[in-house]
Amino acid sequence: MTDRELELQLRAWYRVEIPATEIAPPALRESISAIPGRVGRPLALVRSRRRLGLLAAAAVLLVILGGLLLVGSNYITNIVPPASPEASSEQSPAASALETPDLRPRGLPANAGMFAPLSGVYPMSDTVTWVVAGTAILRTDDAGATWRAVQPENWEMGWPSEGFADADTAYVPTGDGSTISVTHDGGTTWTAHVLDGAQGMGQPIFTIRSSQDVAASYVDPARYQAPKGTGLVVFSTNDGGITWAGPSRGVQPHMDASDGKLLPANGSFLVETAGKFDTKPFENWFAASEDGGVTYTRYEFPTGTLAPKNPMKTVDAIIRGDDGHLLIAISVDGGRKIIPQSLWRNGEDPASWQLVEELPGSGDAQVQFLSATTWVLASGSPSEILWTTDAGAHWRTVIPSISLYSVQQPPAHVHFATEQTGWATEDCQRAHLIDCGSAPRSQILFVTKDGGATWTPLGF
Amino acid sequence: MADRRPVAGAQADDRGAAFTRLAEGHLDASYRLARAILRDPAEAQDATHDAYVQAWRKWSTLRDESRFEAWFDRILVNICRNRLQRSSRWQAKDISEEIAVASGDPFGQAHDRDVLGPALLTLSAEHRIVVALRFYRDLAIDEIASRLDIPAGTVQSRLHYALQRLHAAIDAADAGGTAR
Repeated sequence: MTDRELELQLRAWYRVEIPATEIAPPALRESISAIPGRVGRPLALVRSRRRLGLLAAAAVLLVILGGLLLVGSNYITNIVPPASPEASSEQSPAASALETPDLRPRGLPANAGMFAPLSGVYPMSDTVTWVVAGTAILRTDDAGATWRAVQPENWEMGWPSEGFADADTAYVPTGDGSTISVTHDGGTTWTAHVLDGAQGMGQPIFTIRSSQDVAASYVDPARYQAPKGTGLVVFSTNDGGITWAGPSRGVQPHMDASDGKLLPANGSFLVETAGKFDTKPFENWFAASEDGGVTYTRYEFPTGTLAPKNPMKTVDAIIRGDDGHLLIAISVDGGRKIIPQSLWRNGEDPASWQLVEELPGSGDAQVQFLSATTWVLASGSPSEILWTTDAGAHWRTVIPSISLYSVQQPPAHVHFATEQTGWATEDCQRAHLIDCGSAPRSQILFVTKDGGATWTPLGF
Repeated sequence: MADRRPVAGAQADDRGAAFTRLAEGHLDASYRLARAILRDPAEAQDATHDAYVQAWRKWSTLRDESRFEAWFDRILVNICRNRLQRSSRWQAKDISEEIAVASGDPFGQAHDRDVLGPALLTLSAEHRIVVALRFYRDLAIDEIASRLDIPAGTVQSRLHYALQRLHAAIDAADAGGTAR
C-alpha cells in the first residue's frame, strides 16, 4: 500500500468510525452549558480567614458517605475465599499479637473482580480499609495491595448496615439481623451477641460514636407508619458490644415528602430531611439523632442567599465540634440556578445558624469532614479536590489524575481516610479500563496516596 | 452574614452567555475530534468536558471570538494528549490479538478498515494527534502547526513517521504477526 492509499484509507476509516452525524451525549451537553455557573473561581483558592468561634482542632470523625450502591448478584463466588472457619466464631480477641498465631485468611493480591458487586468502602487509616462486596467483607492492611475476606459466619450482604468503627473494630449483623457480630482485632475473631427483641425486624443501622459506644437501630415493622413518624427499636452498647442495653423506642419524625426510610448514619448522626413536591414549599427543617433514633432534635435549616427557604436542601455532612456546636454542610437544589454549598455552625440557640463558609467548588461536591477543621470536597465539574486543614481559612486545590466528572456519577463516591489516602469507586466501563471482564458495569476501586492527585485502579 | 459569592453582574452574564453559545456551537465537532484522537466514547466525553472547563477558566485570554475554534482545539488536543500519555502508563495493552483477529478477515476493504483501528492504537499520542487533525479534521499542515504550536516541519515529520508506523502495523497484521 502506498502512502497515498493509506491516507485515503485513513480518511475513509474516520468517516465510518466517527460519522459527521455523531453528536455529543446529552449529559455532556448539559454539563457544559452549566460550566459558567459552576466554575466561577480561579484555581488557587486562598480565602480570608473567618472566625470559627470556639471550633477547636481535635475530634476526628470519619463521615461515611454513600454506601447506597447497587447490590447485584454474586459475581465473585470463586474469587474471594470465605473467612477461615477457625477465625470466625466465638473467640476472644488475641491477648498479644506476638503470642498468637495469625489466624487470618491469606491475603490475596487485589483483583478487579473481587470488589463486585460493591456495597461500600470504609477507609480507616492510611493502610486499613474495609470494603463490603458481594460475597465478602474485605479488608486491606496495606492500602489495597492485598485483601483478606474477614466476614463473620452467617453474614450476607444486604442493605448497607455494617458498622465500621476503626481499623480494628466492626459491628456486623448476621443471621436474620438480630445477631450482632463484633470484632476488635480487624476481623480475625468475631463474637456474636443476640439482641432479644430484635428478631423479625430486619437489618439494623449502626450509629458509631466511638469503637465502644455504638447504637443499633431497627425499624419496628409494627410501627412503620406511626402517625408521627417511623417507629424505631434501639439497642446500645458502651463496652464494645459485650453488653447491650435496650430495646429503647424512638420515632423518626414524619415528613410529608419523605419516604420515612432509616438511612445509614452520617458520621455519628442519623439525619432525616424532606423531599419536595413541586407544588408545595419545602419543609425547611431537618431532624438529627445522636443516640440511634431514641430522641431526635428538630433543626430549622438556615435561610439566606446561600440557603433560600423554598428549594430542597440536603445535609451533606455533619459533625459536632469539641465546643459542642454543630457544623453542617448543606447543598441546595436550585434547579437551573447553581447555588454554592455552604457550611453553617449553630449557636447557643440550636435553631440559629451562622454562615461559616461558602464552599468552593461546583455546588454539588461530595463533602467530607475529616475533623472539625479538616474538610475535603470532591468535585466532578470541574474535576478537582479541595482541601482545607484550618476550617476554611485556606484552601488547596488538587487536580486528580482521573476525571471525577465520571467518578462522581452516582453511585460512585470518593472517600478519604486521611489527608493522604483516599478511595474512589467507579463502574468499570466508565473508568475506561481496557478489560472489564464479563462484568463491565461492575464497580472498581481507585486509591490515592497523595491527597487525590494520583489515582491508581486496583487489580488492573 | 455576608454572602460571599462572586458578583454575577451583567458583564459576567455576558461572558457566560458568549461562552455557552460558542461552546454549544462547537460541542459536537470537538467531541468528534476527541473521539478521533482517543477513540473511546467515554474517554472522549470526559476529555471534552475537561477541555471546556479549562476553556472557561482561560476565557479572558480569548481576544477574538472568531478564533474560538482554533483556540479551543489547542486546549482539547492538550487534554487528549495528557489522557493518552496517562492511560499508556496504566494500560499496557497488547493489541496483537485484535490485529490477528482483524487480519483473519477475508474481505478486502473491510479488512483494511478492521486493521486500521488496531493499527492506530499503536501510535504514540503525538502521532495519533497529527493523524487525526490531518485525516479526520482535514487541516492543512500550517493549521496543524498552529493548533499544536510547533513548526510545520515537525508536523510533516510526525505525519511521515506515523504513516510509516501504520504501514508496519498493517504489514505485520497481513503477515499474521504483531507490530512492536
